[in-house]
Amino acid sequence: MSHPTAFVLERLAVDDLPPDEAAAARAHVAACAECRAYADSLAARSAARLAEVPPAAFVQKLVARRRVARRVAAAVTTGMGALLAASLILWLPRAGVRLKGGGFALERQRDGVVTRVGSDAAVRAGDRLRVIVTLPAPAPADAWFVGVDGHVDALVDAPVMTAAGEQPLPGSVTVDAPCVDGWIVVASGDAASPATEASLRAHAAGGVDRARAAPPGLPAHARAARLRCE
Amino acid sequence: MTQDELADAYRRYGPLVAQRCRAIVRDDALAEDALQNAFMRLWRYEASFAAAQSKLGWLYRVADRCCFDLLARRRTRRETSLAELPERQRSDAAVEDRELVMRFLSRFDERTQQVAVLHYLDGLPQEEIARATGWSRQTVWKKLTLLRDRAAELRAQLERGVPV
Repeated sequence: MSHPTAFVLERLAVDDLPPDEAAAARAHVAACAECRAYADSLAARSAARLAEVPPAAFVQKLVARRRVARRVAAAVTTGMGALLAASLILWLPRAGVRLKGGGFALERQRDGVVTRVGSDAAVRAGDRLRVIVTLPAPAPADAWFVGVDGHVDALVDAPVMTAAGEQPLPGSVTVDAPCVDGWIVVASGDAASPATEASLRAHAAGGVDRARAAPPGLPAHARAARLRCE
Repeated sequence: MTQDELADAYRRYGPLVAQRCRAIVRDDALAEDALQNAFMRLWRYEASFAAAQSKLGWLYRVADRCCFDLLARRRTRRETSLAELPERQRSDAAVEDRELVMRFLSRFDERTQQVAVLHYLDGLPQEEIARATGWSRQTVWKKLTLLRDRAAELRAQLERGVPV
């Protein structure tokens, strides 16, 4: 007898199969003691896991992590009113970084003064940075900081649907102490995805050569601006 | 995604993803980290998750990467025996290969790790691994051959009492 794969049985257990495949798998399980035993063991272990870590408790851990990550990783979402009022929101064809049909630029706020900076920007602890994206058409955009020490921080909570033209990504980034050299990476379109973040993390693990113009693992439609600590 | 929706996703998929993370990293604390990392990604990339044909498959791929990242960073771990995890009935040799490969998973490159997980945990045949990864069947075949050869070497070393 040809058995469904473990993956198919697991999809069946969480109602993740298309109806026809689910019906076939269900019929097989009904007739196959081995697969039924596996399905039963999945159900028992799922019940045990949910009893051990109930959904509400698990979600609270994630909420706490997101809060801590924002503070520790320096991706601090702030009300941008004050910064907007003082900022120079400029599309930077020279100082900025080209992105598919557009580009991105950084604004650095230091001691209350907002300055537009490009790649190889000098930063120090306490500086606040904001990403300004320019796209030719509406598309999702996402941004990360990749440190030479290998850590990768998401700069926004989720990919941001960005209108055509020049748009600031929500929030700003405060450079932590001690300052770490690295890159701001911005991706648009399909590259604003978990695959990009995973690629950045995988390639950055263990550290990145600070001489690189961009961190490794950068997909098409993603660009990087290097940050240097003063 | 609201916290209620996140809780629903965890209720439905969390236990299976948790079990998978334990099977890959073989350390309860690391597995919990990987599980949380995977759900943080789900929270962050809810649109990508919502568009996925297989929600469980999407979460598995994300969780796999979270596990590989943690394996790359942490070389020491308290090992969880795969015997504690659900297992389809297999031949003794297949179970032994699975045990050895998963135990020493961190020694392989990420592509090989992905093939190992799809083969030894999901039980996928070569053509489905090729479809899932986008790699050619020949590449998948080479990786599986490498895994079996490495498992045989490790088994021989262990039988001779050579540290591995």
